[in-house]
This record gives sequence, structure tokens and C-alpha cells, in this order.
Amino acid sequence: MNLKIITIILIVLIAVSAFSTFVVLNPERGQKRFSDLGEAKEGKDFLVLKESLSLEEDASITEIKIALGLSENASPEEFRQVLIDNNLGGRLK
Amino acid sequence: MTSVLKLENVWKTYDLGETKVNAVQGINFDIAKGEFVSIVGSSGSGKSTTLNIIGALDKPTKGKVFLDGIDIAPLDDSKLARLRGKTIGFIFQTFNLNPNLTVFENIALPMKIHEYSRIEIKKKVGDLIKLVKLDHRIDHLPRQLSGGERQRVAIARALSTEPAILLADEPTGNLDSKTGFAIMELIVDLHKQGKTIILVTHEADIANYANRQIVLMDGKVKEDKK
Repeated sequence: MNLKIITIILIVLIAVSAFSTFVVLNPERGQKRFSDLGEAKEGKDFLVLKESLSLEEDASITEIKIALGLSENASPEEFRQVLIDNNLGGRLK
Repeated sequence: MTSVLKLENVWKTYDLGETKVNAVQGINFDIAKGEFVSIVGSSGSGKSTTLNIIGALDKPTKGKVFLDGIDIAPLDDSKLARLRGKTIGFIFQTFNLNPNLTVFENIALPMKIHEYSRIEIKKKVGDLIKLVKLDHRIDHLPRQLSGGERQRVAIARALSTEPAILLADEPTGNLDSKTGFAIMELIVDLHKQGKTIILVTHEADIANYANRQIVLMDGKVKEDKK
């Protein structure tokens, strides 16, 4: 009985671990896209920014960075700085 | 007079492992609405650190900073960014325009983020472009403009959301003397129209355009003269 419970717990742990690894290794997926820029989620400001930069609604962070004149590997700090440079405060909602 | 910026016994200490550097040491000053103030200092005077604190880009290690009456200490990054975007219009030495956007689009971008309507944006950008005398350049990209014209666009962009403070960091640093003079004349005109301007510079002749000079040396206010 105990062995069964331990096996189930192990399977759940392995599944959670595998899923987390998949999300971390795939920067274009879900929350990771915006946590990459120090943002919790994609909010209204991002949509306005994409529209202003003539990007599609589903444009990736890489596309936003390039449209802002950054390199695709720009860090969150560089992203913050370019927002300040553009008089956008430094962080988007 | 209403205070738009107040620094109370502000210290900024950088921890460099075994040593600590006090970049700013107990600075106090109060800037009222409508003032034109220059903050002057040579390299190592604490000028850049003070600029970062004034611009709410960094918080002091000790002391208080009130921006448009709001104590910035308890604000998290998100609220601080919002306050910064609403209260301060930045003008940089290197202009920092978006190379992919036209003059109109560069000026309009902060207004879009601040939820101005399309009609308001069209009207306001039109007014600002006239103010900086670039009506004929409205659809041009930054690379098609001269240095002085780019700085004029940057000034218009800084004014677009009607910030309480215009913060200019070495605004003529990348310009020849004649163009720099024209930019300073524009900044003086903005002050005459009631704008609060803080100019950070290491150049004495540029600092002289302001009505008040706060001179920094070794992280302290050496002189505050009107």
C-alpha cells in the first residue's frame, strides 16, 4: 500500500518537474515570455506597444525587442532602460 | 510655492564588497513648480547618482525623496515606473529615439501608453511639433534628421504626457555649439511657458542658463545659488 502511494507521488513529482523544464526551456511559451522581461504577464500596455510598433498581436518578445532597437538577447535591464529612454516609465502594465 | 521635488538628507551608498562608497552624502534641496534649476558637478561629484534618484531610477540608501508630493520609498518597481512615466519627462544626451518610428510616432508613443485618445494624440503631437519647429519633419525617421532636430523630437516626446518635471541630462552633449545654443534657447522658452526644468550638466556655460544652480562636489551640495 505504502509502495503504491510512494510510486504515485514519484510519478506526480516527475511530471511536474518535466513540465517545468519544458516551460523554462521554451521561452516563447506562456508566462515565461513576460517573466523574461521581469513582467508577471502580458498586459494592456504590451498590446498598445505592439500596435504602436506595427507588430501583430501575437508578436513575441524577441520581435518587441528588435522593434525597440534592442538585440534579441537584450536583458530585462536593457528592456527597462529602453522603456525609460522612450519616456515609457520603465515597466509596462 | 508648490514643491515638485524634495530631497531630505539623501544618502546613496554602494557596497563594493570590502569597501563602501558614499556617492551622495546627506543632500537636501527642494525644487518648486516652475523653477529652472541646473545641477552641476564634475565626474565623481555625485551628479549621476543624484540624477538617478531625482529620476526615480534608483532609491536612496537613507533619506527621503518626494516626487510631486509622493514619497517614493514605499513604492514597488511597478508603481515607481508609473509615477516616473507620469511625473518626469526625460531628455537624454543621446536623444534615444526609436529608429523604427517616425517623428509623429516617437512623440505619440508615451501618450498611447498613458491612454490618451486618438484625437488627443493627434492634436497634442501637432501642437508639440509646432512648438519645436519641426512641422515639416513629421513623417521622417530619426536617421533622416540632424542631431539638433532629433533632440527637438526628444524634447517634444518628453513633453507629450505633460509631466510635472522636465529632466534634461546633458541635453547638448552630442551637439555642436550652435545647435546646442538653439536647444538651450528652446529649453529657456519652455521654462518661460511655466515648465519645471532640471538640467544636469558638467558644463558651466550650459548651467548658467538656469535661474538656480545646485553645485555638487564629493557627493555633497557645495553651493545652492540663485
